[in-house]
Amino acid sequence: MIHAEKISVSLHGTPIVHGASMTAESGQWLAIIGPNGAGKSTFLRALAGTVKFSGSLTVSGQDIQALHPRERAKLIAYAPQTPILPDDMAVMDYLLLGRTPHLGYLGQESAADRRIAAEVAARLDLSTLLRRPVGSLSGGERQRAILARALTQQAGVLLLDEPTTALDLGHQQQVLELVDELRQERGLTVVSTLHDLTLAGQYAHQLALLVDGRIVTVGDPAEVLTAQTIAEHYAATVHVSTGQDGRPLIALRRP
Amino acid sequence: MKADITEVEPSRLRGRWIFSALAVLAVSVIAGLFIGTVDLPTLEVGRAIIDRIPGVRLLSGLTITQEALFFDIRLPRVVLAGLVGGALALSGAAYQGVFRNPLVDPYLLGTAAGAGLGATLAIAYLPATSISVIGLDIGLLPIAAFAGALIAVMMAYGLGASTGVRSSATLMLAGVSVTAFLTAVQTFIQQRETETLQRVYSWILGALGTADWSSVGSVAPYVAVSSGVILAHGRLLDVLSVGDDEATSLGVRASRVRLTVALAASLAAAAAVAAAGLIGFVGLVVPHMVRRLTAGSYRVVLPLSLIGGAAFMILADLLARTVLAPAELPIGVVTAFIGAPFFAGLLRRSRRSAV
Repeated sequence: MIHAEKISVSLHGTPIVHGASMTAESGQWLAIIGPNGAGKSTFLRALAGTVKFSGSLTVSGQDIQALHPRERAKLIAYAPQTPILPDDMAVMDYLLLGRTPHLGYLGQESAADRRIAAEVAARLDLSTLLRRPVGSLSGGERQRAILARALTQQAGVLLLDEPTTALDLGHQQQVLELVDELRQERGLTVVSTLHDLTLAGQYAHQLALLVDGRIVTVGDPAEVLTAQTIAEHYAATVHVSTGQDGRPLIALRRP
Repeated sequence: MKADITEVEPSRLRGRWIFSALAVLAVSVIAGLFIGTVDLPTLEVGRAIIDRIPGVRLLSGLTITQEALFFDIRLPRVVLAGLVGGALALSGAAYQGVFRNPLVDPYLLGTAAGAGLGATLAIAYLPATSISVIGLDIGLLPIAAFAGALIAVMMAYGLGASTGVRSSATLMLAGVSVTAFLTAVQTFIQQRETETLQRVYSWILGALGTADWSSVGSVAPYVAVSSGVILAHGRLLDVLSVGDDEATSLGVRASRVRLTVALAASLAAAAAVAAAGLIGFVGLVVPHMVRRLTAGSYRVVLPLSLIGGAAFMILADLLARTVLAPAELPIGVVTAFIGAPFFAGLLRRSRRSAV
């Protein structure tokens, strides 16, 4: 379980997130949605510990800010929206970076670390690509490699910033299905930003709607994704229908 | 499938890479020792080396002059060239990792400008070129250059840190402005003291001609310490290559790693500059050659750059003192003159094979 209480973040003196609170229960998927510029990524970066913030953040009751960065990294893994990929690094080395928090300051990977990375690689169909340079991967393979890097970290909480950016429809579905399978297999708590409301509604247990740095609604998809809420915060005219599984489907409508 | 899983290994120094690098180094050391204006008899030199082993007595058959030429001139010169080249290449590779920029060289944070100014000040204003301390003759020029280089790096760091933004771009810009400022001061002094121009200029072009065991001794400790620090950080430089955000989320304090490695690299570069003047190109090109020929991981690039840089510099120095013998070419001219075309060829070849 990851619990954020009154998180505020300023970047270069500009306040971006104002006292946002949310809780993602263990083994569940919480999606942060909101219009462009609402502060979704910044909020996620605060949870990941890559920007300074005020407020409190706990994982299973442990105060994250009191922990050494390495200890924090054993609890929370993070994949940014557009990760910097070292093009000429081998995929295997890239995955092994995920073991960093489990090594000492100048430590090297042991056989056990290599096994963990190899197991993740096998699970994500990357086994045949391990010797390839990261720069040679296709978009879908790259997204799997990024996910694998985060999984190799073996943290209980997985933060994903727009995991489907720049992927076509099929690959979007594949990645989100994969995340959901892994969540169930490994009991992961997933917090992700997702700008596509239908996708967010399909996969997440809970949605948190962030507008102008404030969380305005939290609830299950059917509660949050109403035509009225979307009209109010996105200035969009949509038609919301209910899919077979009871989850909302959102379609744009000409105003 | 099971075998597949356990066979997976991170990029690390492969035996054949180290072997090739050491073989190239060995060839260049032997060439550097035996090729020169005066021929040395190989067999006798071998005997003389054995004779130097404590407890062993062997008549070498070398004349006193030959023995002095080998042990007091050629050998320290080769060792110094190796140390300087290795230090510059390793330091360049480390800087490239710290700043995540392949175009960065070891002089980025003002090392060259600071050393240049220090040397200029010493040449223009110090009454003597060396002082005698307990019977030892200590050259003041290297000390001035070394101090200048370190002061410049500290200025760059101070300036970078004072902005409150701990990004690599800020540090780079701080280095650029410190370099510009110190170069301006140096130009001003040179212009006022025109009779120093010649000496400053010849120092800047680099020279290993004055190498002796005391210059080796003044460089070796810095190179050893900074190499140890840099080589130990290979994996962390790999972590930095995914950017500060992800490095932080992996539990690494990126700015601290950057500071540690950059300081060690600056120390190595300052020692190299103090001993041999401003030798360009080595720190930029050798790590690239290594990267193109082997792997992208710093765990591989750093140690092979150290060995490769040493070999490169020994060969460059060999050319510098033989091509126009008995005159010597400035070593900086040679490194650029052979380094640039070689690198261009490597770039073209690897581009073709990548397609």
